[in-house]
Amino acid sequence: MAQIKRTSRGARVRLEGNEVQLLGQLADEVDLLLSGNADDATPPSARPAPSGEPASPDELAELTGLAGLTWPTADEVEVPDDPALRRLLPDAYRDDAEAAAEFRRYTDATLRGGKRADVTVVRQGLASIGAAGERVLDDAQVQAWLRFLTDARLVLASRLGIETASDAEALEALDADDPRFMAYAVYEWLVSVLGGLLGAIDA
Amino acid sequence: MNAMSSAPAQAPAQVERPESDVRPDQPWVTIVWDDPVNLMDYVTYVFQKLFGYPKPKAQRLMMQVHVEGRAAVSAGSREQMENDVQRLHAYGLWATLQKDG
Repeated sequence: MAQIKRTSRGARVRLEGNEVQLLGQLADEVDLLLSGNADDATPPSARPAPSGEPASPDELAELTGLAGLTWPTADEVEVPDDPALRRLLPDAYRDDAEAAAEFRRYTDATLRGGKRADVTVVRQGLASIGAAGERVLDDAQVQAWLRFLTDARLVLASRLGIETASDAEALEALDADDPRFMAYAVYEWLVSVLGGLLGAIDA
Repeated sequence: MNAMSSAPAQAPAQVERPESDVRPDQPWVTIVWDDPVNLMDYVTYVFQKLFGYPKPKAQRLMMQVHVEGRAAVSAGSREQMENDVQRLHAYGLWATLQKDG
């Protein structure tokens, strides 16, 4: 079971082999989902560093000055058809479709790119943990993990049809042979990882 | 950051914005909506982290989201609220902006 402890250098994350594998699969799924139709517009700041210890996306964006730039795409960016992706990239305006479309046009690539950069940070952390059994995450890395774990839970919740609190409660009673059983178990397990990280850092 | 904030300050709203948006002093608010997925501790943490709110205020806002279904978590210019919404989306919270009132 995942063990996360506060240390003077950051949050120390210990995971078992199957947990590393599971998070790696979730990273692949979230990344694949996000890599959809706006892939070409992904800002360079969000692409994985070529080698060595990567800068965090925030650091990299600041170094390159990209933090202050926007990435408008040439045409309108469509609202995702996939409800899970729509939850990761929601409308910013509730009752103003025109403003929502404009906001999406200017921010979609940045938001997607940031989320994909989080996936990269998590993958690198998982590689260390896979090799050494544990890794100490600094604050920027913890932030990336928190955002990724949340995105992974949002995707699982969407796939499981969780729209209300009672939907989630109903899933607690699933039989082990239900096709949703495993996904719900993972969804709940992610709570413990997220909670562990939150308990190991200060706001 | 967004497209609007990079537009020349002298030419607000003429091209990009509809008529109703020309008053630059109109306050805007960022609304966070309840969802059944995000943990209460996590939502509280995000409000502290992104807005620098003390924990009691962050908890109060989180509870308002949870109980009332929504809460205004920040207020300011449209540009500032678009920035806040984008940061909240990065953390997986369901946020929108709108004119206050």
